Amino acid sequence: MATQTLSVSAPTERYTLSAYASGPMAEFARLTLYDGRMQVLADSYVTIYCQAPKGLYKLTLKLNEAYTEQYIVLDQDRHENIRTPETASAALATGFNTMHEYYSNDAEAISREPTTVLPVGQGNGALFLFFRYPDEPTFGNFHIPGQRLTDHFKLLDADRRIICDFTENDVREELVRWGWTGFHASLRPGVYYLYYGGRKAEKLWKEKQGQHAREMPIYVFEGWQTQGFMTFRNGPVFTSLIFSLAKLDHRERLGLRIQDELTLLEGVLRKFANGIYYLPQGMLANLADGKFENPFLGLVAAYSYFKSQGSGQEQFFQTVVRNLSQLLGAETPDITALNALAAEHFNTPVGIPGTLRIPAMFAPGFSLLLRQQSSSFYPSVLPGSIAEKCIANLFHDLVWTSYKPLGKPKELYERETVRIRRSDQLLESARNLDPDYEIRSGDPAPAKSVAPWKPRKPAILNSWVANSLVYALQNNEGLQMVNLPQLAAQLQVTPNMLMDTAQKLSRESGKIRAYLSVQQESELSQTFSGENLDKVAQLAGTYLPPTAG
Amino acid sequence: MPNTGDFAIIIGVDEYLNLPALQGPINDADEFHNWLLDTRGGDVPAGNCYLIPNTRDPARPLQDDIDDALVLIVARQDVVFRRFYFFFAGHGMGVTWDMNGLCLPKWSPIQRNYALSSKGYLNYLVESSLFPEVYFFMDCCRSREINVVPSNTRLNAIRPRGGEVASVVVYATPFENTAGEAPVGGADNSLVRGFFSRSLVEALGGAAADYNNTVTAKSLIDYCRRRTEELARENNRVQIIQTVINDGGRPLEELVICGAQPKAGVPVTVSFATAGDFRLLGPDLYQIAAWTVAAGAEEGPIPLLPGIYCIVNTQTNVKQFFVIDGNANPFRFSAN
Repeated sequence: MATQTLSVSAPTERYTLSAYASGPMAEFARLTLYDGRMQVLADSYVTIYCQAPKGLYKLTLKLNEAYTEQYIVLDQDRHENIRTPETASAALATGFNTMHEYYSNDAEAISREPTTVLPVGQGNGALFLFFRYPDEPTFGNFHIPGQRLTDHFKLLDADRRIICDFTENDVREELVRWGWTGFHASLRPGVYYLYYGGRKAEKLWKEKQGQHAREMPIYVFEGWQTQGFMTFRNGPVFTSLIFSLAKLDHRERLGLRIQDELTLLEGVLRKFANGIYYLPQGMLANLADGKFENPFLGLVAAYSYFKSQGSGQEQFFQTVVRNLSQLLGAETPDITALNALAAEHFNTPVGIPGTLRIPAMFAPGFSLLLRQQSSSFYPSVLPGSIAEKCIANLFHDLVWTSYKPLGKPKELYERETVRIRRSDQLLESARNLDPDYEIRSGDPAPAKSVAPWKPRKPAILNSWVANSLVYALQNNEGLQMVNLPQLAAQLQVTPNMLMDTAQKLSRESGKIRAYLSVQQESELSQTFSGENLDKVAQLAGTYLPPTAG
Repeated sequence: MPNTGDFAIIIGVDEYLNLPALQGPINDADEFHNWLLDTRGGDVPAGNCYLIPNTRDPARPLQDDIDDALVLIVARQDVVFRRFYFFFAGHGMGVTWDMNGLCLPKWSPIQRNYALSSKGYLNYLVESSLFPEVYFFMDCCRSREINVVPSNTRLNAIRPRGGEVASVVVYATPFENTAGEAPVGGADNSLVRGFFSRSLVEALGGAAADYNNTVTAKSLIDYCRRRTEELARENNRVQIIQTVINDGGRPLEELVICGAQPKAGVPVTVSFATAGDFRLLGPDLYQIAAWTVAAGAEEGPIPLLPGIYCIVNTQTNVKQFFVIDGNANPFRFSAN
């Protein structure tokens, strides 16, 4: 039995509607309030407050990938509390659904006692890495017996020599019930590289997809322990990687502490990864009070402030930048980038910005340095340095700098090998030079049937920098239109790299023409046409115009 | 009366030489194009719309194809320019928070220039001040595994201005994130559409109409934001649109994109699992209906306009909510 009635209330009835997010990472929760006709009424972080007419409303909360919603009947003043949904993190910090004592207890212990002494000696800095699965069920689903979490990982020194293979003797690990591996070593301050050799897809294990080889700089600062956390599923989940710093000078504070600072750091970094430069007010207040002891918090806060063109906190952030320079050293690339960004923000003069030899650890900082190569505020990238070499190979999927490895890493104590195949004379001279040299004379190659000669494809044709350079030249009427620093900034490489590429193309133009003359690759032939190669030669300063007659 | 001052470039790329094929972009481009041509929609003359779907052999479009279309548009002397639409569906890669590389079929990790710069094209259109209103809709990923090197248009604004131009840029997803596509479901489950494009065409088709039966820039964005999230969630994904707006001094509520037919309401049927007294409340808490029902009874269909509704069990005071979408087909709700 239905009775249709219609009651009409006065349209002027208005009530207070406030809502606030609570729970882990609530500072980073985005609230949106829709009115009864699904028009957005309010949208902000953490809290919403408005006067609204009587009616139905919908409140949504978004926290990175998590989402929750609730409906509100506004027929009186309402003060709603909306809980943040559970969220995961590699960081062993409060509030995440991946925080488990079966990981954190061991992680804390390992962070206080080195698991190995490396051949490069100890120093007054330290590196602590903790790799693990998000939880026990994930370990059960994904772990393959016999495999170790540190498979394919190596730690390299500043010269890219292997100083640790993460063998069983270097780490502590548990691969039966929960799946974790901890590494802790005392190290001299400076740059190190975490190398991952990549993995091919496994045909018999559908879930095991291939992964790119990858390398990333890790800084060890004097008096600080650099801490890295990463979770695994069907391999390392690099996007979960988070680095932090812990002070080394007080014994009682040494190592990992389960605390809110890591939660905050994770929150800011996730926003950063999405190109959102957002700083919760509470975090600013705590920074101002000097409550935080993790310099990375100050670092990302300052980046956020400057990148978002913040205002009103100038003096405070000048102090933050100054303190960070003192704590971590003004020469480290991350601080250099921050100092340059600050100088640009405040429009204050800077000294000679110097040169950059190694990549910054924090990807937005490194990216900033690369984009500003023509600015007087920023240091120039040293030609031939690791910083320059990695530019063309950068991955852009992490908030940390990472790139395709620059070749295989070297052994720490590598025996030099002379490979001589043809010349007995050379072999003899090598013996004379150093009788300890290992000689691989090699067997004569077996005779092969003679195939028609085909020129090999010059490797430079596979370079995206070369392709981009030629494309830019091709699409400009004259060379005077090509502004090398501008083009370098657009491609996010250095002018030196462009000139090197032009010179290499110019040097190899004979090989390129020979290769393309017998190929059917019309695409490549068009791109690297004789006309375009001549333009490259002009740019490289090696062009010889054809002579008459 | 067609909007002779409105122009559009619509690009859909399903197939790439070096990237995985997509299934939705050409469908999405076609649907957007259809809305543009619809006299009850964008009402843009066919000659003003440049639909550029990809071809496999040769792999097109190239940047020249897009620039050529742009040249033809800006060279028009016979009309007073009013609005420009730029629509792209295909693979994309983020460069910065406000710039995306829109990948053309030849894009590859080696040939990174084969991508359009969203910001480069927007800057040209704004700075040229030809069109008072510029809309960019981009349904593509914005992730950044490697560095894309997008190309600006080769057209240059003679005397860059643009202060008075209202530009509304809607990306399918925020910087660093991916955009998704999925079969639309229902009878034609083979049709794949991008979540954002689908919500966009729904919105323009009237789902985003406000109280005045007009689709404004604000109501469009509100609708697309909510609807894209919903469509993504239905496919176990998270996707949130991102906007970059320069309103040119005009509030978004005043940027009217199109009118909409007065809505007749979505037929809603309510089934009741338990017996009891129930009330149906509308968005303003007005009581629409009251029922005393037996378990298993059904009421309706009742025509309801888009909005939030609440069914209250007056004995238990349990409240259940549902949302009527502007595009929902006949809707069924199970009340307890």
